Amino acid sequence: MAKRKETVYNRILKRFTAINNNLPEEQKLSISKRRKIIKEVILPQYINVPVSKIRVKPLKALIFTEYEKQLPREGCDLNYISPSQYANVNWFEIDEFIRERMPDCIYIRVNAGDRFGKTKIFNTRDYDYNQNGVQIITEKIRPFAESPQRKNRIYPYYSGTQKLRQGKKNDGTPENYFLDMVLYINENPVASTETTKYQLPKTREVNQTKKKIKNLLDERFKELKLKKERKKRARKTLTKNISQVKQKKKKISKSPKSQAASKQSYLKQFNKTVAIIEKQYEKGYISKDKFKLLMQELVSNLKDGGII
Amino acid sequence: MKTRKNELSTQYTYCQKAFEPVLLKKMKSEGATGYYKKGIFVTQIVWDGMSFMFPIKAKKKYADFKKGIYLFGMVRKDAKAFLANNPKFKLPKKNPSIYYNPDYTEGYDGAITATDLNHAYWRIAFNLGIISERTYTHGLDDSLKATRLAALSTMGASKKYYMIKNGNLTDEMIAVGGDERIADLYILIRHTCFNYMMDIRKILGDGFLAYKTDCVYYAATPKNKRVVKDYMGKKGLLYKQLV
Repeated sequence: MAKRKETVYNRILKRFTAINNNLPEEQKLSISKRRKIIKEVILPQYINVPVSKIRVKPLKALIFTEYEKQLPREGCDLNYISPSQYANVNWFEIDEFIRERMPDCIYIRVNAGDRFGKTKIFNTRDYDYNQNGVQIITEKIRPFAESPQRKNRIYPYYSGTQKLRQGKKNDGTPENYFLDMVLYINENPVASTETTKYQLPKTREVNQTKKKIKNLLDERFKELKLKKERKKRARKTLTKNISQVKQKKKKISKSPKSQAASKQSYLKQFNKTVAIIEKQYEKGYISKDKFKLLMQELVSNLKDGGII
Repeated sequence: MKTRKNELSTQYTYCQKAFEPVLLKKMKSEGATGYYKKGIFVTQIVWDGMSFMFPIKAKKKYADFKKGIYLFGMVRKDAKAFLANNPKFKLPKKNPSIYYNPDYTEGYDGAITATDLNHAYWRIAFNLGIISERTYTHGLDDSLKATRLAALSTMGASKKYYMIKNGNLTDEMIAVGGDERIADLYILIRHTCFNYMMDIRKILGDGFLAYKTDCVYYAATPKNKRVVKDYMGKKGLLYKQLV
């Protein structure tokens, strides 16, 4: 069997992984993060460059620049992270909180008590919504939180507590602590919220590092919020345009005199909506399934009534 | 009260009400420093640059308010432009917001009528050039009444927070932000309105009974009605005749 040709992407990933493996634990990046960086930052700089022309030195420099952009070492230390960052998380947002708001190098546990279950302590670098059991917990909570009967409904949210891992010493070593995301129902936590913290020295350096980490986490939060707002706006635009297509379809006049104009207006709206759906899919605002569904719906709407 | 530059909030997150005591308890256990503010629509707790917002009012009312939130920005922008063009504007003579004719302390026997200004402060702000025509038109919707009044009254006003020290809520207050000169524009609008009312009082003479902010009460004679109507028309005000 012929050997598969190595792509530019693969070559970069290989180099990236090799560098990553040689780094200390707290500086390592997860595979998903490495892939994301390659796709968004490195690969665009290698457009039209054949594999044979990829030089190690500039590629290494590019990769190391990306490492420099990451959180400083202390970012992996819960003692440096302000509790305000993880004080309140909606039960349905726990996935994106772990994935996008917290550093990729801290230990965490999602704890929804005996009623909904809890995960094992895992590192955010290796996080997977399904594999780590977060999805099961969320889906267990959903019927109660979204119950159509008001009296059966609960209003849960998570709040984080820094705890010491079993058998470890409270000596300030970052790996010794984990963040326990405890579920609250109204004002009551479903598990213990007793915290263990290491008293950091009150020096200027510590304060500066804390501030730096806070700014970086704030930046992540801001980005996430922006992303959500954009998605929300996109959803609104889409709904508006789809309903307009339907309205214009209804308005197609039966009199031959004005039929052509109303049909043209309908088709114009149809094309506009298709373009919007395609653009939103490209930007990742809608999933592939949703994209297919919307397209099918639109096309069936077009065929229905014999407009073609 | 200390005054501080806006160093408080960088990020905000909306939380459910039940979380408020939990957060205060957490801050206490951490010995945290923060800020607390109770507004009409939300209670705000700031901790380490993170603002936790707890909605108070019913969702519907809050949604109405939120719908017109853009008015705050528009008004502030217009007000700044007005200040740039009229840096030396003068505040009018101050008059009370409510005034009764002292001659009628025992009451008035005859027929009474009243003329009420429509969206008085909003219209006066527009007439004075403090807000643009675009802003004015945007805020005319009836559902935006509370928002447009809030937008005018809070322009340039500072935010006052109670301090949380070592996790305990204290009585100590700090004022954040604010621009006195812009805040003066609201005084200008209010007192322009009261001055109009005083002018009407002078014109009506004995026929004048009282005024309350933007509504004037007087003896119901055709002449009085015409005089008031003419005055308001001359000042570019919109009104409705009551009774």
